[in-house]
Amino acid sequence: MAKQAKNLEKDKIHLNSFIGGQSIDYKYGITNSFYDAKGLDFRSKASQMTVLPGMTATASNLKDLITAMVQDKNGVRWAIGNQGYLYRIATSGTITNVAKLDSNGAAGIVYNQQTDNLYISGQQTISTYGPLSTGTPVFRSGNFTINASNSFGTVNIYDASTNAWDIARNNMATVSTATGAVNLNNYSTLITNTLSNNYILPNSIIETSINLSSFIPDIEPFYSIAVYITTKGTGNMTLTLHDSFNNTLASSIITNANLKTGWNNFVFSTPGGVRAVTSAYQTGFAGQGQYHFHLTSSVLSDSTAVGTYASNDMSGVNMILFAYRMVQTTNGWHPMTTFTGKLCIGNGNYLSTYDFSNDNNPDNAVSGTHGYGWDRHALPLDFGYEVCGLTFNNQYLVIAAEKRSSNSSTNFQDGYLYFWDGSNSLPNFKIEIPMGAPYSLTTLNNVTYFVCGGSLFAWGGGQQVIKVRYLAYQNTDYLNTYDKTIVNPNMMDVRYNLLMIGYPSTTTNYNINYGIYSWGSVELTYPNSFGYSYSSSLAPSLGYVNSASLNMQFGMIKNFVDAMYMSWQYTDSSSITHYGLDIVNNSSTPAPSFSWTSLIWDGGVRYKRKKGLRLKINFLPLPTGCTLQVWYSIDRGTQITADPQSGTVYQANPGDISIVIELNNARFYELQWGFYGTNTTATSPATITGITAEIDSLEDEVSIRQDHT
Amino acid sequence: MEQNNSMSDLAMNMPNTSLMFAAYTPTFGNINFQIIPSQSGEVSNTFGTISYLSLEAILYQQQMQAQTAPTAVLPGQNTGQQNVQGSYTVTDNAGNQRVIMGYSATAF
Repeated sequence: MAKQAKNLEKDKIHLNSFIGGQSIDYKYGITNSFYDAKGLDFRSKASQMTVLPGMTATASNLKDLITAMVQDKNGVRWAIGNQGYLYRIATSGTITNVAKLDSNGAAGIVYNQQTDNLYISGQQTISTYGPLSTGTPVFRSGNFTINASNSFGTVNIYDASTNAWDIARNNMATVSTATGAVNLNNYSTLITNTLSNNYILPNSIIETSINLSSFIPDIEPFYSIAVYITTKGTGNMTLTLHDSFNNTLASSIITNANLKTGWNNFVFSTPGGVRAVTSAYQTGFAGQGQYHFHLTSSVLSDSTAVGTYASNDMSGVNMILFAYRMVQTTNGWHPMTTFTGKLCIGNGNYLSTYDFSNDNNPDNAVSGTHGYGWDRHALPLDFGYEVCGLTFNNQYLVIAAEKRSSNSSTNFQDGYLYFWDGSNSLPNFKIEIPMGAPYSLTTLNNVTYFVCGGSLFAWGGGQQVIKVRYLAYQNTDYLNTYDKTIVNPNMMDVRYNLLMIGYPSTTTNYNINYGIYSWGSVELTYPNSFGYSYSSSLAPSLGYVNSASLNMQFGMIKNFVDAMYMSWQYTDSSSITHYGLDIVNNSSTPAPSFSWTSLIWDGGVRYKRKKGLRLKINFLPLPTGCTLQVWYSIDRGTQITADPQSGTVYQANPGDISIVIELNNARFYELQWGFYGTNTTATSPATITGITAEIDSLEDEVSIRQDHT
Repeated sequence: MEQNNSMSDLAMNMPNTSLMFAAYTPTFGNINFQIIPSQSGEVSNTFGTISYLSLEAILYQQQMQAQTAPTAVLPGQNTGQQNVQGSYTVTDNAGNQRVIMGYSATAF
């Protein structure tokens, strides 16, 4: 007898919650997870997804890429760019450029409400701007800059009778105590020569103790050494800086025409200054330190002479050591924050501190004692490392440091987290990060997060850092390109109790999606989940990924309650670089594009053929101005977005509450589905409440046989 | 197998229960890693799922071996130093000193 036609119930692959967020694997994730999404809020309600508000450009004609932002007590926001432009963002949102640093910006800006001033890091100086609330703010470019050493190792000479550096070369110590920092503007009048003896310059370098002057630097990098000339001869004068092996570290020449009786400043041409080891000397070693310098004349038997403590003995020459306030870092950053009442500045392989004791002219604190003033080397880190982020965890300032290569394609893979209580002369403890540079350090719920090698890491007080998950597959295997992915210091922030991760800032891996990713949960019982939440306003026209010619960069993200900013730059086809600032706030409309992709479904039986029947997506009435286009993919093939026979696009229209598509003869081993959406004029977000695939498991068919293509 | 019925769901939806499933150490990784459903040959009507592993549970575990500053420090540092003046003594029931720690001008 012939069988009757009948409809058997088929399997449903149904998702009515998306709370698991974005998975790493194509097939496997935590319950209610999916493979990919953009611009969707899958956390706020466990039973639905809604479209997040989209970022729009609040400025697209800035002069550079903003890398740090703060807000003053009046609600005005201030931002510094990577080329040194300082921006004022009025409470109305109007952005104006108010000043420019004397160098590129260094991703550091701090507002001190007590002084009502901004403190802004440049490459080797700190500038100030303020007061912000009274009168007209004054921009003091490079306010904290090169100044003189006032430590015993430079202002004194070695005394064999006491085995100490206790004989004064000049009155630096007295002046420094009375007047504050001695700098390039005031030294020639403040520092005198009371030495009654002279040293006549030889014509060549002589490595004997009376023909050199040793000193113990307390600050570096060296900018210059000034010496006091008592008699000007006819030759040019050279100052040569040596290490203890008599290697020449730097030299400086002043031509005879520019020499004068009195102070002459020998400036080193070394970019960024001469790097040196501070406090480098050997106790009891007859005053020989790591560093000494020679003075020579280009003319044989010249009469040029300098003031010295003992006759014909250069060791006691009247000299002043000048050093840059900041180290010129390879990464170009000096992140800043305030901690235990002090301004803390990432300064290459140091943390510098300043106690706001004298904004007009802060003198050097005695290094390591954390005294008053400016302490360039308050906390020494390991040689070669450069600070790339600052945050707090419990009683500690957490300092992230990286090694940055000056070569564009051969990179370091080194990093450290240092923990400092604000008073110890060394870090209290440190954790090595051998995976790479710990970028964009941020703390949420007393858990410190950072991005390293394309992954999100967390440290919550234990012995180990915990790898949370990939942000992106930063690995460049098979891509035939080196990976140089950098994440700026201020690329993470907190929005609505969720961690926002701007990633990356720049990359040579052109598979990585630029955007703001999110991590966290909105309720205790919900899992922490991850997703791509916000794309820049550039995405609709330029896409999500970088290219060599595009040179897309994200500078920073910053959230203020309901307003979140993200800065960007890109280069157009005419080689013109554009800089802008995006904002998402309470008046933003739904994101112009959104998407969702399911995990690949194979029923746990990859080897067996199944058959897809239909897909159904439920949503609340689609808003006007919103489109939603469904797709499916068989065996990881092309996304099918329209009926193969009729050509009808699988698209829902405004007002619809569901869409069902038929999968014609869709026999498969692996099936994946999803949707794309757009918002043009929509003012309210689409809400997706369920996604279902109906499958015939073909249970009567043979399971094991050759795959069909 | 019905959705929302797996162990990972239970872990996800019951406060603190997730700790029971968090057998993670940085050395050994996630001991409880498994994919549900298992590859039993039956066609499942769910996506493959992995048990949820709570970051907070791991951090909670780590607090038993929290990172602390060392107590032995170099001169000039002031974290973890303890300066004890005088001496510690231990006395028996009769009041006689049995143990003394530190300098004593008369006892030694």
